[in-house]
Amino acid sequence: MYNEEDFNFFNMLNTSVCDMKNSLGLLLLTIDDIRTEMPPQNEKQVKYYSTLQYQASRMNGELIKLLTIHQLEQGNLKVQSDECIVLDTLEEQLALNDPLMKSHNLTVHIECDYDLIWHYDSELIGSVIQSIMINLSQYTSSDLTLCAVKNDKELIITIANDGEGYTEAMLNAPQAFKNGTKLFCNSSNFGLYYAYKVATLHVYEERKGAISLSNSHDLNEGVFTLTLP
Amino acid sequence: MAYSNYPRLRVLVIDDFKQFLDTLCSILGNFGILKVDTATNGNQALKLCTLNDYDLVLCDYNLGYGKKTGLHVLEILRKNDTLKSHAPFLLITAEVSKNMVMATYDYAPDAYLTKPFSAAALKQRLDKLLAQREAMIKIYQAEENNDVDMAIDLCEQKIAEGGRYTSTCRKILGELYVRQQNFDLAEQVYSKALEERTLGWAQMGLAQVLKARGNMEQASKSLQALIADNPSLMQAYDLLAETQQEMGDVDLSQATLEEAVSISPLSILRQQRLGRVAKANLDLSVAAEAYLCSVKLGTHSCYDQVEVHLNYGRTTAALLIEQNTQVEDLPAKALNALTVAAERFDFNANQEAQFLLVKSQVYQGLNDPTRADELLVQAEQVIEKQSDDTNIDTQLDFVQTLIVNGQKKRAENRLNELLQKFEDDESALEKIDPFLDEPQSGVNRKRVAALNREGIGLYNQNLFQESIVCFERAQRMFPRHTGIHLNLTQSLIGEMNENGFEQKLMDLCLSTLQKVTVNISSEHKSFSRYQNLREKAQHIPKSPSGGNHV
Repeated sequence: MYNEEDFNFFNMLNTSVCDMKNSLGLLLLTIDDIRTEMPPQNEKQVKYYSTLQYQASRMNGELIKLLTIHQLEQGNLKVQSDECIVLDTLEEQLALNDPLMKSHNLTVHIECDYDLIWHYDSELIGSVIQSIMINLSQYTSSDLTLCAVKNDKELIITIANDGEGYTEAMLNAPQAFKNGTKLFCNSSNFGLYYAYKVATLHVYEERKGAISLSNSHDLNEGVFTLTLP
Repeated sequence: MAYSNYPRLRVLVIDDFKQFLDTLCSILGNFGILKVDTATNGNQALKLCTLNDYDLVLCDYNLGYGKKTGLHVLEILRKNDTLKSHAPFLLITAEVSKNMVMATYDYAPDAYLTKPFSAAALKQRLDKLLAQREAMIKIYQAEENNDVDMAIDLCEQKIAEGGRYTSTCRKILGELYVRQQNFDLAEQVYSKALEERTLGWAQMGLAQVLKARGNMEQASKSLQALIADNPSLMQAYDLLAETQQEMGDVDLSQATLEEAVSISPLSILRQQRLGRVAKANLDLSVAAEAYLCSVKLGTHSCYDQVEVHLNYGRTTAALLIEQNTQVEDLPAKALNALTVAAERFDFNANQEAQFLLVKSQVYQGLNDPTRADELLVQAEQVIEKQSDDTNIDTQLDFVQTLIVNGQKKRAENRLNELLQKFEDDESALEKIDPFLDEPQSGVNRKRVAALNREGIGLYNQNLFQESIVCFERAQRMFPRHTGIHLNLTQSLIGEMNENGFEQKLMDLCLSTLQKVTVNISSEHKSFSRYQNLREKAQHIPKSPSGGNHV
C-alpha cells in the first residue's frame, strides 16, 4: 500500500541515495576486481584506474555528506557516542579507501596506540576522516599519515600529507565557520564545513569538538587536526 | 592484527541482490573461508540456521520490499537461540546513518558495514570482530553454560591484564554481578568505570542496582538525568518506565513509554508494553494506537501474539462505544487485525471465544446489532462447550459484551458469580475490579484508598485544582466507583465556589453526577450525600464571584 505523502523530496532522496550507494558499491568492487585481474601496463592506464577510483569514491563521499547535512538540518541526526577503539576506526578508513590510495600510489601510515580508547560516534567521525582522505588523495605526493594521541581531556586525530599544503583561504576556513563568517560555498569548503559540523556535535562536559588546519613548511606538509572532547 | 582462523569458519551470507551475493562470496573465498552458504531471503536464511551451526552471519538489512528485514532475521535467531550467542551477526546496510536503523529495534547486530565497502574494509572489520570474539571466547562460553562464577573470574582476569577489551569486560562483569544479585560488587564495577568518564552503560548499571535495592526514588531520578543526556538510550526508558510502574506512578510510566516509542517506533516489544500500560490506565486512544503499531510490526516478528490482536480489538471497541462516533477506518482496522490473528494462530477454546466476543463488541460499535448478536451467540456456544475451562479473561470479555449489548442484568449476575468463583484469586479480582462500584482486590482497594486520601488531603487544604486532577485520575482507574465520583463532584463545586463558574468544570460536574444517578438507589449509603451535592451544583452562580462587570 503506497501513501501519497511518502513521495516527498526527502524520502525520495533517501531512497535514491541508498540505490546510488548500492550501485557505487558494485562499481567500486568491480573496478577493484578488474585492476586485480588486469593490472595497469603503463602510466596512462594507472591514471585511468585512479580516475575511476577517485570519482566513484568522491561521489559516495558526497552522497554521505549530503544526507548527513540534510538530517542535521531536519534535526534527525543524533550523535551516538560509544567507546571506540581508535586504531580500529583509523584502520577501517584505511581499508575502505585502500583501492583509492593504491591507485594513486600513496602510502598511508598509521600512528596510534593499540589500546587507545575514546568516545565518539564512529560512523560520523569515520565519514569525516574518509572525506578528508579522499580530498587529500588529489594533493598528496607520496605519503599520508593518520595519527591519534590523547592528552588529558582530548583525543587529537591528525591527518598529514606531503604536498603543497593548504591555501591561505582554507587555513582560515575553520575560524570562519566558528565566527559564522560567510564563506564561498565550494567543494573544499563544504568538506571542511562537514568536518566542522560533525566535530562540534561532539560535546562532553560542555567542551566541544573542533577542527583546524596548518602547514608545516619544513616538512612540506599540510596538517588537518580533529580534536574531540 | 590479522585473524588467522578463516579456513575453520562456516559462514552464512544473506542478500536479495544476487550479484552482490556472488561478489561477497568470492571475496570471502579470498580470505580463505572454505564453507560459505547463501540465502536470498529471510525465511531461507532461518531454515539454514536451524540445519547448520554457523560461526558468522553476514546479512543485508534490506531483503526486499514487504519482506523480513535483516533485523527481523536477527531477532528470530537471537530469540530462539538458533545462532550460537557468540557467533557475530554483521549487518550490511546502504543507509548512511546507523542511527536511522539501529536505535529503533530491540536487538543490535554485533557490527555493521555500510555500502559501498571494499574487500579490504570487510577484511578489516571481520579481523577485528573475530579477534575480539577469540580473545573473549572463554567468557562467552562460560556465560552460555550459565557458569556465572567462572565467567566472573575470567572477566576479572581480563580486566587485570588491561588492554582494549577492558571496558567490554567491565560491562559484562557488572551484568554478571547483577545476575547473581551481588549488588555491592556490581556497584563497585560500575563506579570504577565511571571514575574515568561518564558512560551510559555504567550509569544504567548503577540505576539498576538502586532499583534492585528498592531505592526507587533515586533510581528514577538518575534514569531521568541519564535520558536527558542520552535521548537515544532506549534501555534507560524501559527501566525508568518499569521503576515508575513499581512506584505506582502509572501515568508517568505511560508517558515515559510514549516518549520512548516516539523515538523508537519500530520496537514491537516496546509498543506492546505501551499498549498494556495504557490499557491498564484506561487511556484507550493511546492503547489502541500502540496495539495497532504492534499488530503491524507483528507481520514479520516472532514476538507477535494473539493477545495483542485481541487487545487491539478490545480497545478499539471500547473507544467506538465510548465516543459513540464513527472514527474513520478504525473498525475496519480492528476487524482486519482479528482476521489476521485467526489466520496466523491456532486458537485454543478461550482464544476462540474471546475472538468472537471482541468481534461482537466491534460490530456493536459499528451499530450493527444483528451481526453483534450472532457473534455473541456463537461465543456463548463455545463457552458452554468448555464450561469449567473458561478463564477469567474470557469471562470478562463475555460480561463486557453483554454490557455493550444492553443486557445489563445478565452482566451483573455473571459478575456476581465470578466474584464468588474467584473470591480467593487476587489477580482475577484485580481484573474484575474495573467492572465494579468498589474494587474487591487488595491491591486496588489500597490504590483507591490512597488516591482518596491524597485527593481529600488536597481538598482540605483548599487546593481544589490539584484535588480535581487526583480524583480524575482515580475516576479513570475506577470508572464505576461512587465514592470517587462524589469526591470529584465536591472538588469541582469547591473550585467553582472559590474561583467562579466555569462551563468546562460544570459540564464535568454534571456528567460525573450523571454516572452516579445511573447506578445509585435510595438505599445506597451515599445517597443523601449525592442529593446534597446535586443540590449544591445547581446553585452555583453563573456570573463570576467578585466580578466587576455587572
